[in-house]
Amino acid sequence: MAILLVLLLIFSYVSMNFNVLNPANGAYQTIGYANYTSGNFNVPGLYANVEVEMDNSGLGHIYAKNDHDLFLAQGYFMASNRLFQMEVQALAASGNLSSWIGQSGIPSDQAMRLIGLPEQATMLMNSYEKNYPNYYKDVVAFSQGVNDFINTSKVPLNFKLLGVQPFYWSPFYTLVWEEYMTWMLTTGAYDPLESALFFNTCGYANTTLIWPYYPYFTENITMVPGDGTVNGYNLTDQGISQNYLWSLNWYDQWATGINTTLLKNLTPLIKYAINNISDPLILPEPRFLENSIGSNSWIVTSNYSSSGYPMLANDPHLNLFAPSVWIPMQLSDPDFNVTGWALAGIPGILIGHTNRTAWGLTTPEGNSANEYLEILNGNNYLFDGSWQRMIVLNYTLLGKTYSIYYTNNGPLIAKYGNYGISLNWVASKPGYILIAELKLDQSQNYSDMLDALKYWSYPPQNFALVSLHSAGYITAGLYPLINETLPDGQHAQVIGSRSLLNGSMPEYQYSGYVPYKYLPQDKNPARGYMFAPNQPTVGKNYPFPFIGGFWASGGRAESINAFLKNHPGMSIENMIQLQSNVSDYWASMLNPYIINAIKGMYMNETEKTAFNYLQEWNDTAYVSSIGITIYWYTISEIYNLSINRILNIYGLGGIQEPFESTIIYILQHNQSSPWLNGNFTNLARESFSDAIGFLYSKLGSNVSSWFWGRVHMVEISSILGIPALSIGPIPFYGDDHTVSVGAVPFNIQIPEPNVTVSSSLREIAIPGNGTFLGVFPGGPSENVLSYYFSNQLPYWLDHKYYNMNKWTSEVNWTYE
Amino acid sequence: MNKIIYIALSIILAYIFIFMLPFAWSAIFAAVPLLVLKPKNSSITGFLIGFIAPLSIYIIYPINYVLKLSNIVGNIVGLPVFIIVIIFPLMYGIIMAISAAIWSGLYDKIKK
Repeated sequence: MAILLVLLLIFSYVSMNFNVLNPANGAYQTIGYANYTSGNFNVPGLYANVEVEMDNSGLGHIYAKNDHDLFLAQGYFMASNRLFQMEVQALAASGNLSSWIGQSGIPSDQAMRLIGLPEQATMLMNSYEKNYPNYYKDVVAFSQGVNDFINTSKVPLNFKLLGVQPFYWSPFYTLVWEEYMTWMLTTGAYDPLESALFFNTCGYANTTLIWPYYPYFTENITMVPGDGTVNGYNLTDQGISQNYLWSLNWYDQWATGINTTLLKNLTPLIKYAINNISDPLILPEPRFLENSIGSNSWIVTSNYSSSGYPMLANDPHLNLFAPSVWIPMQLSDPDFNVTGWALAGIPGILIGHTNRTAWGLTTPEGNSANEYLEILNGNNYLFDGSWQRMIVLNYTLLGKTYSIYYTNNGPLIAKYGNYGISLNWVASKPGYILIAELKLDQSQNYSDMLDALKYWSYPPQNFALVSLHSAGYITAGLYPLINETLPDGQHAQVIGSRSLLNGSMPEYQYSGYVPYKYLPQDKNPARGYMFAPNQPTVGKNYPFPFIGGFWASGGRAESINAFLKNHPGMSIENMIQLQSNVSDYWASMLNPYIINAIKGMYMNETEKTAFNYLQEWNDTAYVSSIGITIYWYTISEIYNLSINRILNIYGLGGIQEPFESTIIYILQHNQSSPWLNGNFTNLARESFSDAIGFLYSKLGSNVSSWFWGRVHMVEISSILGIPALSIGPIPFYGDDHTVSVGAVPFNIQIPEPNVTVSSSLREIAIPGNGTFLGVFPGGPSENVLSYYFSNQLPYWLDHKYYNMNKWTSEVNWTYE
Repeated sequence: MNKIIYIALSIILAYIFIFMLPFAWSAIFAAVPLLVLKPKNSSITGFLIGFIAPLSIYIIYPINYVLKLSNIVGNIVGLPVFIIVIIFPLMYGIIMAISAAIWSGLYDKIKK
């Protein structure tokens, strides 16, 4: 009997690990939620019935009779499809992930608390409630809808797998997630730290050579056509010579208030700061000059369009997750009729269209956050010659208490001895981007959109805008200005910095923001088109110079510019063609140098065959392309043998490699540059031999089988990072600089690291004739068993689109 | 006849507990009616009820979904699909078998 009792205890204890496999109420129960069937649902709190349809693309159409019901139904619909995603995101953003996943969540929670997301969301929530109660009511209704679903006790699969229960939603979680997305898209938070590191170790001459203020070849392909004049105002009007301003050393003491010798001694502190604000769940390595998140958009004016109506295309590049951060929806009531993509957890539609307008977003890459060097004495910091007391905020994670110290500039993100670094981010003050979003969702013309974007505070974004007859751009958002005294005594109000700023000197504090009227913008440009794939937004004569502008290389911008320039009378087919373009612009410039360098070398048979492929390659990166494979591994080895080797010597291993455009610039001016090992011909030959030898050893001797798709794949990772819940790897096209992007780092490995950042959605819109096309890599549901988990993926992979204005209904629900 | 009623009662309890509680140790209580059987028979009957009752529940789901989900869970925990499908019924059966034997043994002692 005793033995039986012991056995019973053992088996009972062990069985606790398998509760999730209970066929009746464990994970298998969620099979019942995988298929959608029409019917009626009781949704408490509605004033009237709401009709909901799911169309054949998985887009949810919500028809309500008032705003309260519309947002309540949106909350219910989102939760019924994405509750786990919403809650895990909200926990991560609020610095409380450890409550679900334990100790492994602590570093992420600390980073989020240090940046201040939970405090900012609380402040924002209170501000909405007090100052914008009508909009706050919409968020409250949305939250009620989420909680109505939670009360149905239909616990989604991932909760069961993780062994946790849903928590009730509130406006705080919506706003903290909004803050998190803002942080992810904020530029300038890391960049001044990273460029200061580069300056400290490589010196000014090398820094301006490798990381010029404007990336090479981009001065004439800015978002706003022209020299930087906006609404008739420019730098020259202020009596400042742009040539003089851009020739200055913006790392120097006059620009930052910090002696460069002291700055060099701060290198360990700077590295420490980068580590502290890097979320290890999103960025496994500390984030150096990273540039993987970008986006494409362009507009075509009515004069340049074959239809006679303005057109827009947008594809934001984000980390691809299963499920996507987006969920496609239509919201319709007497005040709204908007269709597009909502962010899971946030009411409204962020990217989309009404019947008369459409808009899209890309990231402009100019500083909206800066870091300050603080001089400390105990719990005091120096400001304007006197010691001030730091504010201390305590918080507890898993029973352990942590502290955050604040100066007048913001939270102290790193501290060593008598020095600290604080983060000054515009989001530390309330900004009402939700109002901007909901006003966009109601816009009827171009002016409505411009008025809506006056509420857009952060992160600054390039908004591509089209209405029935107008098209243009505005980079909306708050760009903090610093009033710099130039070495010649003139004053210039500039955006951002290249390095740390002296936090103890009042002259380096923010002196205001770029006025809305002079934000980078243009409408119906004479040349017929504009584009904004993360290249510099304005020319060097812009009245508020982007000193802290850490732009993308401009490869995609060059491709888009070339295509649009050569296609007057753009058609919808041309728009699709451009969005699916896989030509690498930098390769088209760099490959001839490589071919020229290696053509005279002795080659074995495999090298000869590979060389022929490289010569015949048309710079495209299709899955079936072979030339791209040979080019990519050769250029990777060029980086390995030269630039990366040098960076390693400087202790900057792992830093983002300089752009190919920089290599091209150096090749055009000095092929004996130390950055090219003193002799590019030798470097290219050695790299080519190494690359072919490596490919031979891994892919075999048949060069005709070295397809890009064998080594280059996309993975859409589960939000929990669990491979079984992820999609892929799938052979994938594109590279870093193709419009249809498939970015991977330069690596000599087979296969390359999976592509994890790409087009998170694709949108093409012509409001004038009611054409709205869209697709995204996933589906509305987070249930891996559901058809709607990834129903749009095949179309996305093939660059096909759904007509968002014409659909057949697949499922009908009534919320009552 | 009485024994069949107790067995039926045990089957009903097993289903109720499986649907109401996620825990396999709820089989301890589902085994109570089997105390009227001899310990050996009680144990065998308990195992059969405990194994078959949860296993039979899979028939309410489409088999392809059961296999797909089992495959996912199997990938996460590193076990084959077959093991994933039968492990809960097996645990339930074993716990019920041991419990039935204990209840039956206790009942015998009380009777004596």
